[in-house]
Amino acid sequence: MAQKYRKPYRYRFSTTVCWFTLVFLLLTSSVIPSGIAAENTVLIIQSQQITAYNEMIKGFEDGCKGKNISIQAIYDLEGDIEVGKRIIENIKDNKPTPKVILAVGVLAATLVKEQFPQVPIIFCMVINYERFNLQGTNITGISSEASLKDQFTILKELMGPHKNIGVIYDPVKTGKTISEAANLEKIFQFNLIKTEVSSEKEVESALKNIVNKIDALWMIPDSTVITKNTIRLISNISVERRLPVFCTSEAIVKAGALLSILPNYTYTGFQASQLAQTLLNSPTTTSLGIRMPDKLKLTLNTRTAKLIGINLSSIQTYPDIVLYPE
Amino acid sequence: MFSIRTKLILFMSMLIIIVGTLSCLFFLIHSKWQQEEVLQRFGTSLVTLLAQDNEVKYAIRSSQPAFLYMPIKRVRELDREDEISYLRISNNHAVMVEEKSPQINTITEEIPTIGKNQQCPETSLGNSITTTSGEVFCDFSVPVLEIQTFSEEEFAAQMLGEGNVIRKKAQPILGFVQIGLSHHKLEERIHKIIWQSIIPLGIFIVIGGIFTTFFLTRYLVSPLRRMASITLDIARGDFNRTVEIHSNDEIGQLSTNFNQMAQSLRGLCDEKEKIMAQLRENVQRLSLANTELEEAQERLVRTEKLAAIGKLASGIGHELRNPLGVMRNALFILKKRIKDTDALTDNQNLTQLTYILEKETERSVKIVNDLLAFSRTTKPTVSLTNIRSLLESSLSRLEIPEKIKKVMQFEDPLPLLYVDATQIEQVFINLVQNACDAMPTGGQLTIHAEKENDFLNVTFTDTGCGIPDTIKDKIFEPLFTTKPNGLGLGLAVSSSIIQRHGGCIDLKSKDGEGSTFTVKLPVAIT
Repeated sequence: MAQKYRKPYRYRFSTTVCWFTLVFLLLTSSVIPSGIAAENTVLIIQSQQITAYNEMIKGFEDGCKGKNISIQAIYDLEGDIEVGKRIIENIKDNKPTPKVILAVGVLAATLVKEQFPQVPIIFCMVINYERFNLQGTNITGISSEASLKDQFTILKELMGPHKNIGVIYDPVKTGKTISEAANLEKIFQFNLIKTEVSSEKEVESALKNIVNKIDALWMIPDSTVITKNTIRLISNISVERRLPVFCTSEAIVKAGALLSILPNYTYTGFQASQLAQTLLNSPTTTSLGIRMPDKLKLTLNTRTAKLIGINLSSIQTYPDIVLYPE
Repeated sequence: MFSIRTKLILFMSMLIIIVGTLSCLFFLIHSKWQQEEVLQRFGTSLVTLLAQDNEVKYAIRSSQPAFLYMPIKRVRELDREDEISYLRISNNHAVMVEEKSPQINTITEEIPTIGKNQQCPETSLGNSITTTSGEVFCDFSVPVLEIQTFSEEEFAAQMLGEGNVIRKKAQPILGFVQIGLSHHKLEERIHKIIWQSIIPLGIFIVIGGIFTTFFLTRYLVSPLRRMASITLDIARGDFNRTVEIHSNDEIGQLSTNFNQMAQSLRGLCDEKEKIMAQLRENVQRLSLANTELEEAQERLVRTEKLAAIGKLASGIGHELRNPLGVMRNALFILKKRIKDTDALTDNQNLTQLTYILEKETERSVKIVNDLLAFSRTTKPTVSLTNIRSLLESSLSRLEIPEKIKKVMQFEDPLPLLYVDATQIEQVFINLVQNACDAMPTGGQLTIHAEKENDFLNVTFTDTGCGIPDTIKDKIFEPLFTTKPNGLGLGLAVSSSIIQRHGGCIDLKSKDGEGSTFTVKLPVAIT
């Protein structure tokens, strides 16, 4: 069966302890107040097994410690919608209903939102969450991208003002993000050169059209623009034309982009635990809205910086920075 | 034969009709195509919007038609012109919702249900459906797919550095959305475009064409017509006409060349006129010379003729003169003897016979003398002579009948002339004798002499029968006479004598009214 869940290894030792505790509780159940028995349980559902999700869940678990929050279970939907539906159906059939559900990834977030309209849900690690209508009175979330202001602040520090920043996007998927970015153009003193595409095939020609007009390329998380093929293409052009590329993916930096600005996933988990605690402590509050990640992480490709000839001294003092290659 | 103006107007009219028709046709086809594309896009947008609406997906998945109310309402709000004729949402087994516009007459059963009993239906966008009622619809049908999260997770894995962790699977089909847009609205829009754009465009092209034709006619044809009119004037001889030059283009160049041509023609014409005048003058001279030549030739012929006659007359005269002299002498002796012999009884008859012989002999002598005089070509022996005396002497020698009144008119004083008195006297006698012969029943003979320039004119005017025009030219020819007993040498001899004196004899005569002979003799220069 595809349905399965996993208990972390660190719970194996605790399991033994729990058995003893259980016997003790059975013996003393008659005298334990009923209020103490109502534990704050959180159910974690993750879309699939990837390192970033796991880092985030680790941060959540660490954050729950000492906050009277127990993790009821962690479910993996294996990135398959059919599997995910069956798991969700099973969860719904099983009692008790969790007090809060932490949905990690877009598949988990969308399925949980549909099936648990009464349970407070915290979603995170959903790229471009605005596209999936993740809104509701029971929905709280943490964005998986750094805010545009944060991204542009770093970009300005590195490039200086009055630069032409190119961006390629699919208006269907990331049009709203570009609209918001356009509003920040004057504030951050740069000129945004926008090029629309509707398919992966158009990316190459779009990039060749703007490459001579821009001082830097800003890659937003758009699934039309960012594919395996285009990442390779963009990396090559970046090096050939000495064009700095800014993005929100560590993987793209490793492929050749100059810099990525993204949340610290572990701390995002910790931030989610704080939100969960707030929701649990206040039963009347079912939603805290969408929050921005509190801590960001910069990943710099020093080899690319050297090839392009960019001076990184201005941002190397940033607190959470990762240099690649190390 | 059409004029250029008519041809130009016909050509421009044809051009306007062709261009206007093609433009309007192109615009109509393009507009229709554009409107159909707009309809296509609109239908595609609506059906896609509905098919991708999560609420629709939930409704189909849970088989709850009630949940479709809001998505359909949202789509209806987008359809501001009520173009949706029918709307149908179905799951894989049955139709869940079916709505029809009250404006259409077609029953929904006539419209084929897309997706029903189809295993792999394809997306159909913009198929044309014609119903039995004649209504045409543009049908848009797309499948409703299960919510797509799979590719987003794949993308997330890629963005987060772990691609290829998820297997790709096909999206299952939940149901179908089918929307039909009425062609009626499309036709209304096209009609609107025809009335608001195509017809004004046609009118604009026609007006523009009329203005262009007017301009071309004015600019091209008018100068040509003006030039044609001026050409006609030039052909009539008015070389002073010129074309006004208003431009530097080909028309202007043509006008300049035309003016130059007219100027050259004017010069040529002037030159021609000069040559013609000179030619006329030469012709006149030639004609005059010809007349003179003819006269000279005539004179020469007459002279030769006269010479021949003179030679003959001289021969005959010499041969006849001597016998005639002997005969006259013998007749004189005979006459004397008859006179002396009065005894003869029949003397009277002899006298009468001798008289006849004497008269005829005298006449023969006169003829011989005339012939000899005519044949004489000796140069006149001139001396200063008083013409008046000469005239009076001449008249005294003649017996002028009493029934002829004689009038003498002389200028006083008359100049003296160098002439041969004997010859001139013979001329005067001839002329007076002729005048008397012309007036057998009486009349008036007027002799007038006066000086005119370097000549002395002596005129002999009679009131006789006159000389007919037909014989005037022959009157001075020898041997020509109108008298029954004349020899025809008097005037010829007279004319010859006067010519030898450097003068001439003129004749003016009117048949039945008399004649005037004028003798012109040069006045002697002292």
